Amino acid sequence: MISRQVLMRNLRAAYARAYVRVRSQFNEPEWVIAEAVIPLLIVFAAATLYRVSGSGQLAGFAVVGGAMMAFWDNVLWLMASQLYWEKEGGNLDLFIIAPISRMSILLGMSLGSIVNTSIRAAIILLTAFTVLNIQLNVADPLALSLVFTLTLTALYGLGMLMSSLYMLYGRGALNLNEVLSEPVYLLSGLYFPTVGRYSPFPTVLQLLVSLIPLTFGIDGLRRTIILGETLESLTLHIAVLTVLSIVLIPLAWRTLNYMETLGRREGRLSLRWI
Amino acid sequence: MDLRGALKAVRASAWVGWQVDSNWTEPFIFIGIQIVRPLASTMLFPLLYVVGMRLAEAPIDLEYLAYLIIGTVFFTPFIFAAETGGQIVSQDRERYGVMKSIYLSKASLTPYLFGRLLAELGLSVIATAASAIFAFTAFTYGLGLPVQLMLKDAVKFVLSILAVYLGAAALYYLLPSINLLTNKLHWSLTYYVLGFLYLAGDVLFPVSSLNQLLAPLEFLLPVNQALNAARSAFGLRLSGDPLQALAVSAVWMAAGLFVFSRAVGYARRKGLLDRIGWW
Amino acid sequence: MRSTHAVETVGLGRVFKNRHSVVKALEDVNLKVWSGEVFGLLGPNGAGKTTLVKILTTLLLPTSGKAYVLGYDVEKEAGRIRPLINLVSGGDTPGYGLITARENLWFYSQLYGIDGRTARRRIDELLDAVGLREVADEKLRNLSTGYRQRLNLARGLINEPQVLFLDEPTIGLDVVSARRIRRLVKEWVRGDGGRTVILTSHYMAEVEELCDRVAVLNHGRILAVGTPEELKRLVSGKTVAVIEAKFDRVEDVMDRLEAVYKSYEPATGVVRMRVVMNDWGETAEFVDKITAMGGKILSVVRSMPSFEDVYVKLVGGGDIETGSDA
Repeated sequence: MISRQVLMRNLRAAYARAYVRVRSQFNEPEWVIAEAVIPLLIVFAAATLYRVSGSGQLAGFAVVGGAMMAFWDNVLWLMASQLYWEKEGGNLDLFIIAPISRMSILLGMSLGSIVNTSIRAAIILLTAFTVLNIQLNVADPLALSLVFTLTLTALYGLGMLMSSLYMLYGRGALNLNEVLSEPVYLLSGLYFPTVGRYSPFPTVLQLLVSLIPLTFGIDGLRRTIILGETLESLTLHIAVLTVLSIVLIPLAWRTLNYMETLGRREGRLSLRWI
Repeated sequence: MDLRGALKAVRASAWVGWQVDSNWTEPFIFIGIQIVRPLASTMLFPLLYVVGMRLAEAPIDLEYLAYLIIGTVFFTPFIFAAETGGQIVSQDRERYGVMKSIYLSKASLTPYLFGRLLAELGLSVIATAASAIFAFTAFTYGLGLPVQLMLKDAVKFVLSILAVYLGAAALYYLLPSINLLTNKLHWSLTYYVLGFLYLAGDVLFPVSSLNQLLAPLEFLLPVNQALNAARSAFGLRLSGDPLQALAVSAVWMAAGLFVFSRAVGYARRKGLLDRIGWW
Repeated sequence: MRSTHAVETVGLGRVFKNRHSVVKALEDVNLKVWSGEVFGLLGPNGAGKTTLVKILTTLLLPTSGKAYVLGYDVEKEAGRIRPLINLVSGGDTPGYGLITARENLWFYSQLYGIDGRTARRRIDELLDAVGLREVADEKLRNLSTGYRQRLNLARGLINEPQVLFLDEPTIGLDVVSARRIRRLVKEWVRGDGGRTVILTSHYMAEVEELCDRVAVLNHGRILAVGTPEELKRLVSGKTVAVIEAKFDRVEDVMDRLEAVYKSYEPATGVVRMRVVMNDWGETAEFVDKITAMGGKILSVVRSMPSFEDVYVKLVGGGDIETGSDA
């Protein structure tokens, strides 16, 4: 049973970390511009490819993908790697000796990231939909909200899990980000469905990529935003995302505790350049 | 100019580049970054096309699929060059702190960068070859789409590959020229440029598809000429002249070297060669 | 049984193992630090000072023995220790570059659950105490190293710790900034009874100035513990000779002079050495050794032993290696 004092302390820490994340972003507008413009260029390329090849009605898929790319990049570079960067900057030691759970730091980072990235995603969506003149087809806003919320919950749960690994394994794990970027764009279907009838992948691969929250998340968002589908046709997506959320967040908590104890035992927590 | 000294510097720099960038000591990471990642970049847009056509219940144009595959495969050297060129200044200046020592050395920065470039382009050969083989196999045997990717003109192909690598080298010198003068773009510049080239570089579609006013870019950018020359070497019905591509890339390379040397001079005058932080 | 000291270690050991080696960073360390003390840990690089601090601040687990902070076991009761301690590492300036100094302090205050009003008051007090009021609203990345280190100290005091660990707090700072940090530490300790400081440092003068008691470590072991005066008595009755000499080729003899070497002036070619001896009569023997190495003696001056001499005596050295060609 957690005391009120302990709970408040952890909530304050989470709020403070979220504040730092959001404030830092707005203190550097170049980042907001870069992180909106770069995905937009790729979105325009993908959407144009749909159009010139004769499937222009699917150009909206590229836009949804571009917005979600912002979240995946955020999870990889600003969530998963963040405890590693905190270690490099000397903050990790201070987080460990503070009387809080490290999960509250990760929670704060997640919330701050979601705020920042949602703004970027909104810029991408608005700009792309306007410039490309794409028809939105949201028939069920509840379905859209549910899919979006569950996707982010599962995605940032994965980010928290990865951050525990990166905290301990440092630069080696950081290289993993490079390995995971483009392959995940491809496998989880950033711009086209990779699960279901039209997937170009074999069933085994489809099952594996379903474990990445992005896969069913993006597909669900495509269906609700572009194809106008409703809750009834999204039960599988919601079920998968719910299960992933329920599994990933407690797993992240346990892994973080385990990694922290391991780090204290092996003396790896304060090692830099490792 | 001390040629022997410069060659030694180039060789040492290439060795450093290989050690730093290849991750060859960690095979999983090596395969992941040097093969799997470029492979994913190569496959993404051709697969988008195939799935899009299936969703739209339209026939797949195998020649256009070949156009896409050749474009994304031979864009790989540009990606490698841009990613390293775009980050080398911030890494060497801020993270490793070696930039001023290299600048002050007898060889200085140009041969050093050239050596690092050789390492990158060497790595990109592995990635490009692996991507080409995988793409052909996956589409032909995996998806049952018999893409025409047989080489028709070897000489044309060799010349067009030279144009690709020369164009990539030009990019490699241009990006650090900008990053020498400001630290704010050290991670974003690469992706601005690559994003622009995906749109306007004839990688996925002719640039004129965007807007006819942009059509002249086909003859001005090194990417377009080189990729179209490679496509015509594979027998695609395109007017891709490898000699023209080579000429355009050579002009860009000369410009890249010129701009880089001016940027170094300016950085020296302004005391930027060892300046760190966000500026 | 709960310890009544601020810090206590019993047979504390820490071993690091990797693929290639096993390193005993700490071995059978027994220490007791009283509440209200400023306790120094002195030793060369790799002596185990930082490892000991990391164990006491719950960053690292011991591999043998026990350690207690304010009576709580660092292994089993880390959660009880953390609200009561803080750590300031010199050479580190943690914080977020894109927010202001004040915002950074606020952030750290929230890790200790300090309510808004109290946090604001404490932050203002600390900013005044460390002399950062005028730059409080500057972004951290725009502050100089000296300012950032002062802010780091303020951060270490934000939760009013009962035990403050200072790990080389003045490393890399200029003389004025270092003096300021030392003054702040002294004022803070005097400010409230029961405040304990554990200080690690390379600087003899700093340890002598600040510490009530000092432990000298080397190779993971405690060599001596006592007040600076008690430790100086280890070399009392001894004498110190300051010798200046010239060598034809200094680089050939530098390795052998390492233990006594103080300075080398390239312009004049003069090497200055400091030797602790039992008796002034030993000077002649030392001069012979220098001459045998090809040195030309320029001056020999008698001096009193200093705290630095204590350190040199304890951690080894204090004589030259004669070598086979002496």
